[in-house]
Amino acid sequence: MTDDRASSPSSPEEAPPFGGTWSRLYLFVAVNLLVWIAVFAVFTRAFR
Amino acid sequence: MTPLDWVVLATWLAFAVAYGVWRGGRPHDAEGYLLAGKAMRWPTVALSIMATQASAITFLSTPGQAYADGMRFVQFYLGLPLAMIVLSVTAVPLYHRLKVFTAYEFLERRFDAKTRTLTAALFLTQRGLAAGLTIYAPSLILSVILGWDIGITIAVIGGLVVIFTTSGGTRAVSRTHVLQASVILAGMAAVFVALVAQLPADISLLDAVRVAGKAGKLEAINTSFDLRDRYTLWSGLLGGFFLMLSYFGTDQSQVQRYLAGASVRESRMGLLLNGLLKVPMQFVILFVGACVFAFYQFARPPVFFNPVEVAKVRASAQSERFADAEARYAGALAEREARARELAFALRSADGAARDVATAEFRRASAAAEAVRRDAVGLITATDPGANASDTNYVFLTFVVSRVPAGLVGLMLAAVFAASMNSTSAELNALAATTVVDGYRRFVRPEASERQVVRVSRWATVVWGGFAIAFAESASRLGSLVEAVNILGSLFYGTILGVFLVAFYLRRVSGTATFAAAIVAEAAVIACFLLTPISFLWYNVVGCLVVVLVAPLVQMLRRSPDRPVEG
Repeated sequence: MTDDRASSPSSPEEAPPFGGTWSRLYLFVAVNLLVWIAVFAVFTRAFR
Repeated sequence: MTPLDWVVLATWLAFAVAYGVWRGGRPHDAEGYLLAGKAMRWPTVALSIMATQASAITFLSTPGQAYADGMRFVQFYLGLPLAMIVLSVTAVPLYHRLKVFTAYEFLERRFDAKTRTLTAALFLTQRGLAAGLTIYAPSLILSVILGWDIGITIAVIGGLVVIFTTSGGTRAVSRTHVLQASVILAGMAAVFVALVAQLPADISLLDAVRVAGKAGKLEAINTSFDLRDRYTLWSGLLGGFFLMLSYFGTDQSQVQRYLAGASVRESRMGLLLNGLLKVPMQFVILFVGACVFAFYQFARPPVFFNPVEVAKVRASAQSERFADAEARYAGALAEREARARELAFALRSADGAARDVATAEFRRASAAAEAVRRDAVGLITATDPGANASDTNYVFLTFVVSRVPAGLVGLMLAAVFAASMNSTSAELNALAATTVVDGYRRFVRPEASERQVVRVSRWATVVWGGFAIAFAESASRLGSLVEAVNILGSLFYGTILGVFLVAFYLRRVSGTATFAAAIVAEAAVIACFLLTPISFLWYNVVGCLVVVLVAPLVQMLRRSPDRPVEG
C-alpha cells in the first residue's frame, strides 16, 4: 500500500492531478454523464 | 454452504477486522481519530465515499430489482455526478477553509447554535436508526436464505464493525473500505462468470440478453414526464441531483469521508471520481440482475424466492392449492423456456416477421407464467397476511447459493458482509463525531483535552454500535416502524439541503429567517407526502426550493441585521 499522508499542505487553487484546470475536470465529469445517458438510451433502444 | 465456503468467509472476516485494527493505528488526537489526520489521498477518499453509500442491500437488492423491474433504477443516480461538481466548487473549499470536523459546525459559524444543534440532532436521529437498518436488512436476507439465526448474523456484523471502528477511527474505516471494495468487486465478477458459464450450450450471453430485452428488462432510460413515475430521466437528473446534493453535502457519514482528504484537491478528486464511477457501477450491478433474469428464462426459478414464506404456506391449509400452483407454474415455465429458445434463435436471423412472431409468443408465455405465479403469491399472502408479496431481495442470493460453485458462495457472502460493514462503520464513525464535536465538546466540556475527545469518541462509537445492534435485533418486531424510518429520511433531506444552500449562497439571510423557512418547507413536504401521489424523489426538490425561496422573504419582512459567513 502507498502512504496516504500528504507531503505538504495545499491551497484551494492547487491544480488537479490531471486535466490542467478544475473547470476542465468539471466539464469532463458532466460530459461523461451525458455520454452515459446517450449510451443507456442506445442500449435501451437496441434491446427493446 | 460447503466447508470451503465457511473457510473463505471466516478467513475473510478475521482478516478484514485485523487489517482495520492494524491500519487504523492508535490515533491520540481528535483530528487523527475523527478525520484520519486529514491525510487521505483521493483514491482512498473516492473508494471510501463509494463504499459508504453502497451498503449490502445495494448488492443484494439491486440485482433483484433489475430482475423484477428492469434496469430503469439506474436513472436514480443520474443527478449524482452533477451534485459532485457543485459540492467540489462550493462545500469542499468552505469546509476545509473553516477547518470544521462536522457539517453542522459550519452552520453555527454561519447562523447560530440552535441551527447547528437542530441539524445535528436530526442527523443523529435519522442516521442512528438507519445504522440499525443497515445491519438488519442484509441479516434478514442471509438468515432467510441460509437458515441462519438472525440474532447471530446481526451480532457478527455489528460486533466486528464496532471493533475496528472504535480502535482506529476514520483511518481504520477508510483503509478497510479500500480492502472491502476489492472483495465486493471480485464477488460480483465471480457470480457473473458463473452465470455465463451455466447458460445452456446453444444459448450465448448475447442471446440471453436479447431475450431479457424483449421482456422489457433492459429499459435503462425513460423520458416520460409523468411525476408519478418513480424513475425517469427527469426525476433522476433533477430529484436525484437534490437528493445527492443533500446526502453528500450535509450528511456527516459522507462529509467525514471527504473531510479526511489531505487537501481541497484530494477531497475534490475523491468526489469527482465518485461522480465518474458511480453511474456505470450501478449499471453493471443492474445488468448482472438482468442477466440473472435472462438465465432463469432457460432454467426453472422457484415460484417465490423467499423460502420461509414458501415453507409457511406448505405447512398450512393452503398446501394442496399451493402444490397445484407450483405444478402449473412448472408447466408454464416449460412453455416459456421453449418460447424463449425460439425467440433467441429468431433474433439471430434477419427475418423481421419471424422475430415479431417469436417475440409475441414469448411475451404470451411469460404473461401466462406470471399469472400462475401471482396465484401462488396470493396463497402466500392469504396464509400470512403480514408476508411481503415482493421477493426481489431474495432473488440474487438464491441464485448465488443454488447455482454458484463452492468457494465462490463464501466469497460472495464475504462481499455481502464487507458491504454491510463498510456502510455501518462509516455511520458509526459519523455518529460518534457528531456526538462528540456538536454535543460533548460544544456543550458539555469545551475545554476537553485531545486525549479526552478521543476517549469519548471511542465510547460514543461503542454506544452507537450497541444502539444500532439493539435496534436491528428488535427491527423484525417493529414492522411498519421500519418503513416509517425510511420515509422519515426522505422527508427531511430536502429541507436540510435548503438550510445549507441558504448558508452557502444567501449571505444576508439570518438563522431565524432560515428556521422559519425550514418549518414552512417541512409543512410543504409533508403535504406532498400526505396529499399527492408524486414520487418521493421530488420531495427533495420541494423541501429545498421552499427553504431557498421563503428564507429571503422572511428576512425582508424581519429586516434583521446581516451576519455574513466567517472564514
